[in-house]
Amino acid sequence: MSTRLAKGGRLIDRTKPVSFSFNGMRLKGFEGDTLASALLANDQMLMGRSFKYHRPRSVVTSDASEPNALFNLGREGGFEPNARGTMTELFDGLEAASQNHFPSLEFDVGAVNAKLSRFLPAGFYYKMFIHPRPFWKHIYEPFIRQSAGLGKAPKARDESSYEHTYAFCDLLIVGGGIAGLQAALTAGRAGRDVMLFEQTADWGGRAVVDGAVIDGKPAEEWVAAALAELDGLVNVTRRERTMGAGIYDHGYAIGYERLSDHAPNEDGPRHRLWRIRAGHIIAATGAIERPLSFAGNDIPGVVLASAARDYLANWGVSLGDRTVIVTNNDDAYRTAIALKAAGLEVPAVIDARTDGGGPLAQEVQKLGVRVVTGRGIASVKGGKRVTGVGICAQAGEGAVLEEIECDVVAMSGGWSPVVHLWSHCGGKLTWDVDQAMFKPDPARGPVGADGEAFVTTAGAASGPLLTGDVLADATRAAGGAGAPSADEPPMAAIEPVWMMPQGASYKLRSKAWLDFQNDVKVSDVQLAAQEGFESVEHAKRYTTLGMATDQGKLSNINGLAVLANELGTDIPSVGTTTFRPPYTPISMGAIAGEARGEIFQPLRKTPMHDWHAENGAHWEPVGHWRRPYAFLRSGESVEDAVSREVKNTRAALGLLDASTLGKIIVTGPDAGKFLDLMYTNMMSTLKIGRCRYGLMCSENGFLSDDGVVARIDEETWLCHTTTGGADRIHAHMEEWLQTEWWDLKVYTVNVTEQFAQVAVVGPNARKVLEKLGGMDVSAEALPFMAWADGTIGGFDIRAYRISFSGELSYEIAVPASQGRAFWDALLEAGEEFGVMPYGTEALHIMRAEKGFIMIGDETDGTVIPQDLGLHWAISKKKEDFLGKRAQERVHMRSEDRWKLVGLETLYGSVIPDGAYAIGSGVNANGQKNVQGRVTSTYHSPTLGKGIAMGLIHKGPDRMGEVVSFPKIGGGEVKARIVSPVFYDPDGEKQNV
Amino acid sequence: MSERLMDGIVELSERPLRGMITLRGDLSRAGLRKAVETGVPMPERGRITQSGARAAAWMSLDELLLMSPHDQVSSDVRVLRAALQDSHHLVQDVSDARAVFRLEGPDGREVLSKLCPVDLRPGLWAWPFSPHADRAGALCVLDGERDAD
Repeated sequence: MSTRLAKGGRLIDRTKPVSFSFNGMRLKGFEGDTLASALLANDQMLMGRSFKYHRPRSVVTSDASEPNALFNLGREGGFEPNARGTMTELFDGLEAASQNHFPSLEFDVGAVNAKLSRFLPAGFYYKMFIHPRPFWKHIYEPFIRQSAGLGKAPKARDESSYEHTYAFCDLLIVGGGIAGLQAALTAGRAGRDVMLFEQTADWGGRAVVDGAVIDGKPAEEWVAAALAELDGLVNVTRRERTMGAGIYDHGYAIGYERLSDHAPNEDGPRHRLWRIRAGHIIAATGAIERPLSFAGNDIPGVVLASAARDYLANWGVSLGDRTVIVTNNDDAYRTAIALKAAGLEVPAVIDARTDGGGPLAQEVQKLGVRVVTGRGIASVKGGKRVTGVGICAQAGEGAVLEEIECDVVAMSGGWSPVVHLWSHCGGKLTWDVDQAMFKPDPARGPVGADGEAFVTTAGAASGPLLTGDVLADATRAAGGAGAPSADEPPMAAIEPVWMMPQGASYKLRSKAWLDFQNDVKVSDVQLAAQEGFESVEHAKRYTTLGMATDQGKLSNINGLAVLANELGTDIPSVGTTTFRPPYTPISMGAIAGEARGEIFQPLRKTPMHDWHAENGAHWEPVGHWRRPYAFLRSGESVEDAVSREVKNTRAALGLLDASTLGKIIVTGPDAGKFLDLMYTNMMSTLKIGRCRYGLMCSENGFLSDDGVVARIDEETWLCHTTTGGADRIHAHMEEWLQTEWWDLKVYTVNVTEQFAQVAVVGPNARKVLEKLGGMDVSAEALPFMAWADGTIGGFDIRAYRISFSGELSYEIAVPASQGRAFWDALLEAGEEFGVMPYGTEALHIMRAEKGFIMIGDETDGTVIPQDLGLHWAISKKKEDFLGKRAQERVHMRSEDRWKLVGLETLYGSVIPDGAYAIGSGVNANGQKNVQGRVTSTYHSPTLGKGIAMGLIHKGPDRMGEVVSFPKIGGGEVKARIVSPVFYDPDGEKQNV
Repeated sequence: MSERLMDGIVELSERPLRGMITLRGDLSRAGLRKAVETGVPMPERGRITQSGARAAAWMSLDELLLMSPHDQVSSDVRVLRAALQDSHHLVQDVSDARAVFRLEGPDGREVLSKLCPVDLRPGLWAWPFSPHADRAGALCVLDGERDAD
């Protein structure tokens, strides 16, 4: 059984017990424990079930590379799935539950999959579920989805907060082991601005656990001194519990800081995402120990040799009384020494190398431990716990020579440098034959704008594994000289072992796990190779090797070695799959940061916003703005209010807050030429003081935006855009000016927010302006489609005589800071004329009554102006404009296009929004054919009936025909095709 | 406009309107430089200059933001347009399109660094200026003062 030893555990505080729960059981641990170490201290070795076969699983590692020990943590708003127990610091009240088990962890019916494993080989889903086709959607996919997934998806809203922060530094160092610390000391002493990240709460990495001696001192002392010195340097910032998650071009790096996962009651954000621009980056990310591929290597109790030492040294936890060690290198002998020193049994060290190990091996033998060489493990005995191992010749096929009883197997297949950060931006690797590892190739680093590598690796991440070499490499990486010395015996060479025994039978290979989390075995990768998936990227996807949440940290190298072997080639020619950020999964909350809820986006408010809020505004989001949809009076429904606003505007006087309309100033000697290219109609001929309605199309001819353009002076135009189009159209103009027509002398500026704009609309519009006084707004002085600067009621204004409602209308712009005062003045002066503000819905209805199109209603990115009967706004004289050539395409000129018409319901009802007009017959899918659709539909308070606009097949040629629109839930609305202009077709009302 | 003060790790207050003019043109032209420098020194790339109540902020290769007391904007616009009439330029009052906030307190830099991708390290924080789209999607111009550290 696994247990807490009486002594030891450098990270735990035995005076501070902590209570937590696992699957509802109350358990005890100590402050400083991880969830994994605390469970092991409670003899809870069974921690979860595997993904595909639901096999019992426990920890393999003690660190970020852990594939098995994944938990659901917390509940409701604090719930999080797939948390690695090895990286979860214990706190009082922690609630953990195992994943992927049904109905319980101890007894799982899904484990029957394991019995069927010979029927679930690699590529099983692709082979099995493809026929018959309809079965996929209705039977296979729902079933697979139900059985897939490890953790549960959270259901409650996350109650934690998160934040982003931007940072800049000369040098970012990722990794707080001795290499990272030495690099930080070197660069910090040289006065460079350094940030140093360590993903755990503990500094010093493996050197401390493995008892390295640096400058004659134990590593732990050296680390403490290094931290003290770094803290005295103002130019060095160090953050613990912060992972260097990803590296991107131009020295951009992402850090993931876990601020309160270990102390959830603390104030402040839970996670912080660091967005860093670093002059240079050092990846001092260490190395990951590789498992060995032998049968039963996934049974709880089989761990990495380094992890067994970690649990002992860091948390005082023994995984079992009798540990068999199996290795192909010297490093694993440290585990035997550590276990013996703790008074635990090591029945044997199984060394696959015929010649055995070096000085460490001799030391182990001196401790009285049996060392057998040239041997391997044929298979591990046991189900939910290891009970023993069968020993065989490594060179053979797995005939068991002897059995050894044990409850732990500590394995080491060698070490792989953590090259992830080096590789994120394209750093290349080289295969080191002597050390049997991929390591960074310094000659082919990820290069920045200057052609130099902007990432350097330091320490074990570069390849060296001995303390002295690690420190020397880190010093060099940080541009220094003179590394601390280290006393360490040399090591005998590693002998690569990719399968144990090397001639393992199919039966053994199909029990030898490569990817623990995704249940990929040696036999699966071999099958993929046999079936022609020779590229490592193809084999990965076919077998799912390395595709789990651990991204194959333990499995990748072993898997591609097996693939290489099967293909009869060497490892470097197979290569690795791509390393992509993040290094380990980061929370969705950290990615979102503060951008959630009310501050997800900035909410834009016009200068009159407060008045609207105080006067019953029913809000509508438009772009980033909130606009009043209607102003509700007490007791009124929204429909009542809209109806009242329309009728009052048509009969007396309405005010619309039009401040959100985009306003872009375009000026320069070539501004007219430029606008002729941007708009479909001619803007260069517009006279100073006049306005013209214009259309903008994309290069593909589709209508993109519309608005009124005013000629301000010889070289200056003011372009109105839609509310949502202001920033987009400004960017569109700048893009063309900066990338294509850079030779045009034109400047633009977006002045949308500079002005508040009020539409003064209705038969009494002129009266109220004349009452306020200050300028001549008569039909003679300011005719329809003219503008003038002046003062009204003491305000400096610009009045545009334009109308989107069909009524007499002025749109009046004042500086934004005067907007509210001007609005108030209009309301006061307008009282005797029956003034009422109106909202966007009344605006929409009035424009629909007039047959004016609305971008986003009548257009959807597939509609050209010709579809909307806007030929009059498309210049025939111009040589070119954006969209002209596209509109010449055959499909655009087709007689069969759906075109804009008005739709008048036969009995006054309203056609449902988005309804389609049905045609005759059915299509290939058995659906009714359609011949058009509604684009805008309203009840017209003015006309007292339903009106609509729609795009109908050859619509304008079919005036008077009746078409039918089915309603959701049955029934239909019949409507007659009419002109889209329902109200005042001759424009007599707006032109007075 | 109302002035709001928020209690938190920093003091945040909205300042009265400041006069602001967008000037676009060839920043290397002597005539343009002369017109700008009657009020305030020409700023280097990415910097801001100040002279009395006036300041000039570099916005892009062909754009400056000129700041002045709000009541002087109209006359400034006229003077600039007259001075630049022979060259291609744009001069536009944008005072009312901007809000000005004051952030005060020892943690001011950290608050800004949560929003703005701008290098705020001590030492570099001497009249820095940067036009940047921040996390909230708004353009911000930082017109800072060197603080205690």
